[in-house]
Amino acid sequence: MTFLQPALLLGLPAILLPILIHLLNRLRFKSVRWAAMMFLVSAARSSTRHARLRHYLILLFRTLIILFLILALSRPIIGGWLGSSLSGAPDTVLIMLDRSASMEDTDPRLQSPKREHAIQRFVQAGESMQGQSRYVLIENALNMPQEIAGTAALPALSLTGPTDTAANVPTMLSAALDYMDYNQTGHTEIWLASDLQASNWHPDEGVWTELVERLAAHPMDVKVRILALTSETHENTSIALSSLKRQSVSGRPHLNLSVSLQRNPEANQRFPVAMSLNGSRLPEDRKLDLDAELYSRLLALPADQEKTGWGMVEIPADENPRDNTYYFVYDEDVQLHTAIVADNGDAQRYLQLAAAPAPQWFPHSAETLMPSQTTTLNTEALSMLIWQAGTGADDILSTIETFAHAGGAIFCFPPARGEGATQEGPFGLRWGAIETAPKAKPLRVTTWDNKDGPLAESRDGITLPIGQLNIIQRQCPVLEASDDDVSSDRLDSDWITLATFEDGKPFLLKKRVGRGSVFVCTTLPTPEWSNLGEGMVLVPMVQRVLQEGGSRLSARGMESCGVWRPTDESEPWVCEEGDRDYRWQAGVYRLGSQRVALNRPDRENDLERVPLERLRTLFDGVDIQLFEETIETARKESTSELWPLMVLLALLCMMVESSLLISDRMARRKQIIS
Amino acid sequence: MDLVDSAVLARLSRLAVQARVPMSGSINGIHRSATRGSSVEFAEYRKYVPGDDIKNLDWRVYARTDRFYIKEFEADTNLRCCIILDTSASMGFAGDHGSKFDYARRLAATLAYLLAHQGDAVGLLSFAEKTLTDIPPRNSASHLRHIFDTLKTIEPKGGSEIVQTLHEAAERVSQRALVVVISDLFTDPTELLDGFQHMRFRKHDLAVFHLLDPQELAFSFDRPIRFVDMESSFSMITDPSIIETDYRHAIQQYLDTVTRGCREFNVDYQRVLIDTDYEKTLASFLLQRAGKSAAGGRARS
Repeated sequence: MTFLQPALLLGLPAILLPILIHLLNRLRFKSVRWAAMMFLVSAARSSTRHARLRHYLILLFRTLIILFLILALSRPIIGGWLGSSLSGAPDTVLIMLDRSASMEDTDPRLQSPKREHAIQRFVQAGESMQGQSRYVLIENALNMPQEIAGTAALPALSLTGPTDTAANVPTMLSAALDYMDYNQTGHTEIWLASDLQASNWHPDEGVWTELVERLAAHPMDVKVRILALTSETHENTSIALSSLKRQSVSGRPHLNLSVSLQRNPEANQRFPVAMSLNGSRLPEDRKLDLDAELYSRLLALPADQEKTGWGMVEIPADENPRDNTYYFVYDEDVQLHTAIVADNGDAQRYLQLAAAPAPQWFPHSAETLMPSQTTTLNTEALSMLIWQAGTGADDILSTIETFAHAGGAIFCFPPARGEGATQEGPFGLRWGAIETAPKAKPLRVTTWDNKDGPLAESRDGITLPIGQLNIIQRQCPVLEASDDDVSSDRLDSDWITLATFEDGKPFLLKKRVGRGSVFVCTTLPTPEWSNLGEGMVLVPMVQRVLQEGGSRLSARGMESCGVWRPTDESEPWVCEEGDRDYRWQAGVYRLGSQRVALNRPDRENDLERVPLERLRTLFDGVDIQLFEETIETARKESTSELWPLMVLLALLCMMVESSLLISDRMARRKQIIS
Repeated sequence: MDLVDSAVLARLSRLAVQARVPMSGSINGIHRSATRGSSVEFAEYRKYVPGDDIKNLDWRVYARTDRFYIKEFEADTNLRCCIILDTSASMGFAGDHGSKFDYARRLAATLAYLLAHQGDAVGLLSFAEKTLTDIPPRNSASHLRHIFDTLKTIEPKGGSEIVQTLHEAAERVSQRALVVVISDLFTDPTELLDGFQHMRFRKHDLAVFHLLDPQELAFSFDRPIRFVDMESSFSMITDPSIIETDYRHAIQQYLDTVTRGCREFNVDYQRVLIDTDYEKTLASFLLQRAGKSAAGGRARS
C-alpha cells in the first residue's frame, strides 16, 4: 500500500489521543468520602464484565475513528487483485482532444470530421463507464485543464469546436501530468484523440523521455488510451499565401499575391479561387489548370485603400473546410531605424551592417553613436537600439526604459571591459568578468530555441548555423539580485534563456519590458571574440529583433493562429469578420490601427503521421491501449484509492460508538427514573 | 443547633403518636392495653368462670339466655418508646442537604418531645460499633431534657453494628414498646431483617426511618473518583461511568429486599430522602400510624 499524502501519516500518533485523555482523566480524580461503600464494592465487582467491556469498546472505536480519518486524509492506494476489485471506474478521466486544423479532415468512411468522431467516441466511452468519474478536458488551443460535467457535455462545449491551430501533444501531456500532480487525481485514465500528425507529436524531441518517465513513475497506475484517427483524405486541397508584395505598377499601388496550393492526387483539379479585399468580394478567378501549385495575381488597390487593408483568398469547400481560406493584411512599407551605441569600433561596424545590410534593397537604416553622444538620441522613430557600452547617464537609461516599455527592442552586447559586476547598464544589467577560451577549443552554443525567437529556423525550415559558431570570449551578465539590492528588475526569473553554451551559461537572453523586449547576447561579433561577424547567425538574429521592435510602427502582421498572442491579453482585438476568438480561429483582427492576419500554421498541412509502432515505442513503460476507431473501457488489474473505504469505516465506527454511548445513557436514565 | 422547632412542634402536636399494637403500660394513657380494663369502650362477652367478680355479670343477657356472661371493657394505658439512633460514621455523609445524622437528630428529638407531650415514656439508645448511650424510657421533663442534651453531644463516628444492637435491644426492652430505629441501614439486608424479626417476635411495635441522601441513590459523577469509606480506611478509585449501572442496580436490589422484608414482618418502614422536610416526614409517619391504628381496630396481637 502506498500513500498520495504520506506526510499526513505523521499524524498517526493522534490515534492515542482517546487513550491519553482517558488516562489523564483517571489521574485527575478527586476524593469523595462515601457512605454507601457496600454497593460500590459490589458494583465494582460485577461491572468488570459488561460495563468495562463497553467502555473499552468505546475507547477502541474512538481510536479507530481517528485512525481511519488519518488514513483517509493520507489517501492510501492499493494494487493487486484487491485494488482491482475496489477500483471500478477511474477517479479521473483526462480527455485530451487534438482539435487542430488537420482534425477537421472528413474521414471518408465515417463521413464526419475526425474531431467530431473523436467526441462521439468519448461520449460513448463515458456512457459505458460504470461509477462516478471526474472528467477533465485538455484541448490543444488553450492547454488549460477544464473540469466538465461528463462526456455527454462535450459536443456542446465551445472548447471542443473546430480550430485553426496546431496541436503540441507533448505540451498537452505535460499539462495533464501537472494537473494530476497538483490535484492528486487518484486512479486516472488519459483518453487521447489525435490524427497522429508528426508535426503535432514531435516524436523526436527529448521531452518525450521526461514525460514518459513521469507517467511511468506516477504513484497511481495511469492508463493512456489513444484513439488514433489516421485515415487520409483523398480529395482535399489546402490554400496558403507564399508571398505578398506591395508594389507600384504604372504609378499605381498594386498587391502582388502568390497563392500556393497543396492537393491530394485525387482532389478536384479544377476549381475557382475567390478573393476579397477589405470585405469586398472580387470577381471570381478563372478555373485553375490541372497541375498549378503556385498561382500569382496582381491586384490593383483601390484609391481609398492604398495604404493599409486586409483580404483573403478562398477555394471551394472540400474534405477539410479549415484549409480553404487564407487571410492577409498589407500596409505601407515602414523604414526600420536602428541606433547603435557602441564603445568598440569594430563591433559597431559589424552591428551596423547586420542592422542595415542592404539599404538599396531594404528600407532599413542604422546610425552609430558613442556613449557620450546619447543625449541627442531620439527614440520616436526608432525600432531597435543596440547597446554595446558600459553604464550610461541616468537620463539616457531612463529614455531607454521608456522606449522599451513603448514596444521598442533593445539588444545589449558586452561592454568588452572587465568592469566586473559593480556597475549597471540599462535595466540593471551588471556584466561579469570576461571569460576567454583557447582558440583551439572555442566555446560552442549547444542548445537554442529553434521554434521561436531570434534564433528560430527560417520559414522554409532552414536551421541557422548556430552550432558552427566559434566563440573565444564571452562576458555574461550577473542576473541574481545581490543581498543589498533587491530591485525587481534584477530577479533571475524575469530573464528567459534562448540559447546556452555547453557549460550551461547563457548565449542569448530575453526579457519582456512593458510592450517591448530586451535581448542580451554574451559575445561580440569581432574576430577577437567570435566568428559571429560572419553574419550567418548575426544578421537574421539582429533582423528579427529589429522586426520585433518595428512592429509597433507597422500595422501589418501575419501570424500563426494559436501561436500569436497580443502583448497584453486584455487588449480588445476584434475580428474584421464577425465574432471570432483569436486564440483558436483564423481571421483578421484589429486593435486601433494595427491589424494581424491569423492563419492555420503551415505545419498543419504536413501529411506525415507517427506510425503506430513508433507510438508504442514512444510510450515504452506506460500502460497504453491503442484504438483506431473506438475507445474500449475494459477493466484490467489496476490500483485503487482507499480513502472512500476509510471514510466509510470511520463513519461506521462513529455509528457504533454513538450507539454504545446512547444505550449507556438510556440505561442510566431508565435507572434514574426508576 | 436547635434540635426542635417550636412551630413544627405546635403543628405536629395536634397529631398523636399512635401505637399499632396494644401496649403494656403502667399507668393510664391514650393507647390500647393488652389487658381488659375499665374504660367505657366495650370489648367482648365471655362465659362466667367461678372466681369472676359478679358485678361484671350482664344480667340482661342472663335474662334472655339463662346463661352467665361477663361483659368486658377495653383498658387504656401509656406507651413506652425506645428510639434507637445510628451514630456510625456513615450517618455523617453530607450531600447538598446537610448530613443524615443532623436529620436523624431532629427526627429523634421531635418524636421524643411529641411522645413525652402525650404522656408516654421515651428513651434513647444510640449505637455505632457498640451501644454508646442507653437512656431507658421515662416520662418527665427532666428526662426529656436529658435526651435532648445527649442528642446534642453525640457525633457520628465508627462502624455500624446495627444488627447486634437490634438483637440486644429486643431482649433488653422487657415490655411491649414502640421501637423507633433511625439509621441508614447500610448492612447486610438478611441479617438486618433477622434483627427486625427478633424485635417483632418480642411483640414490639417497630418503626424504621431509613435515611438516604439523594446523591447516594443518583450516583451522578462524571469523572474518576477516589471513594473513601467513611467507616474504615478502605478506598477505591473508579470511573463512575463504568460502575454506575451496577451500583444503582445493587442499591435498588438492596432497597427492594429491605422493603419486602419489612412488609413481611409488619415493620413500619419509612424510606426518607433527607432532602424532604423532616416535618413532612414526621407528619406522614404520624398520619399513617393514626390511619392504621383506626383501621386495624382492636385486633389483638
